[in-house]
Amino acid sequence: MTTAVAIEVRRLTFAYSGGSNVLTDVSFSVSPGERIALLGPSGAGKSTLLLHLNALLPDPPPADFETDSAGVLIDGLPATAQNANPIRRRVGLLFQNPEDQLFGSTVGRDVAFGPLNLGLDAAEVQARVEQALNDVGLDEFADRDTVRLSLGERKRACLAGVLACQPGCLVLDEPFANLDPRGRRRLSDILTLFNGTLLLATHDLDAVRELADRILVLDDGRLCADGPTDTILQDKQLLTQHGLVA
Amino acid sequence: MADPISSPPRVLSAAAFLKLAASLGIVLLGCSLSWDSWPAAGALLAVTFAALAFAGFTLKALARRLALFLPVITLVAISIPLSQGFTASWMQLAGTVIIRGAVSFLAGLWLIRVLPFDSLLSTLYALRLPAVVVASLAMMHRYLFVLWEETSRLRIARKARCLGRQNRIAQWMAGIGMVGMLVIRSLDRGHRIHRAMLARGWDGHIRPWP
Repeated sequence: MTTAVAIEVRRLTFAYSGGSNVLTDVSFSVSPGERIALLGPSGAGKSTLLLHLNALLPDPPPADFETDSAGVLIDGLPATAQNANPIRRRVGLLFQNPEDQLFGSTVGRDVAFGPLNLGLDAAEVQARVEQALNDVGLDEFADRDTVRLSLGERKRACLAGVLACQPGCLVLDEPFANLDPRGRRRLSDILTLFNGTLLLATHDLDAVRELADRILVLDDGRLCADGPTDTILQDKQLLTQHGLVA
Repeated sequence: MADPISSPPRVLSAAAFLKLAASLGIVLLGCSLSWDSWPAAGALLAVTFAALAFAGFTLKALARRLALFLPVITLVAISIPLSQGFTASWMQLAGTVIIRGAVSFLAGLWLIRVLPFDSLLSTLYALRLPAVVVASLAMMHRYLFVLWEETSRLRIARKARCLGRQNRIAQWMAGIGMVGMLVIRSLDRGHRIHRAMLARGWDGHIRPWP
């Protein structure tokens, strides 16, 4: 059973070591169960923002989480290295490139990786693997070598690995990139059925219409727009200005 | 907090164990032979070739693999007299190295053919090999293919931009650049894989799944 997760990002500013700011003063909040699309041109800072939601980057300064100070909060918990475990139990992150995420020798082993790390017993791990593979339509793939999968199958196997941890929030980085229409349709159907909080970084506006209730537009590390999907997608000037339509 | 002690049961498949034991047996037997016992070495090689044929290896496929392996083992064999001096028995010594290497290589090829890598990992785990070694082998196997695909893509991209014949030096230079690029990409990929592992709750303990 998934319990939807709340996200709050407060005045988040971040730069990689020796570089300029990738994120500048980004603030927004997401209610439990909301479905959000994160739009922005390449290099806007979308992936960096998503990594922050999983406490995978160094704590952004200042790492003082007194009321109203900067940072990322997941269900009220600061997303810092210290809280990494409870944060990662709540937020499941799907990476852009499935090769980075699919490291098991077989699909079943890979999907079991997360549940094993949760310290579940063998029977529960098995049940979660079967359920997750069923959810993504890969029931017969548990013993399949991960090398012998198509791109669409790899992406779905990666998603199964995340779903097996039963996160309350699913964060996806360009899940539809390079997928053919059938692969895109399958993935979209799976995401439609997810009942937790959903945050999706993508360039695919059709998928956004289908999956998201609200859109955040990020450009050059700054949050440029935040509003309902229909309103944002009808604003052609905004979309053109931020390189979201040609 | 995940419990690092709770690991799945180590279940040993008899068929997989026999295949692994047979392969190791051939390697050990081959390594106990010297140039002087060439009739026994010949018999062992014949048995191994027969096993490879039964496993479905074609002569062409076998020749291709041996063509890659034999120059390497020959270089190793020659390096011994080069470093220790050409004594009266240097040829026997080099021959022994080549025989042992060839038998071990062929036994390895047979094992890979008859035992899927995943079953091999399960067998090694069942035989009490440390989980971290099994996991390292699994990841090495997985990313060897990824690296190979990346190499192929780089080679194709290079060919696509090679308009006309390149001289040998230019080819070498391009090859060196490609290897450097692969190293950098591999480091970067390693970093991303680490992040992906952390995202799914990895805390430094390997918990294999049988």
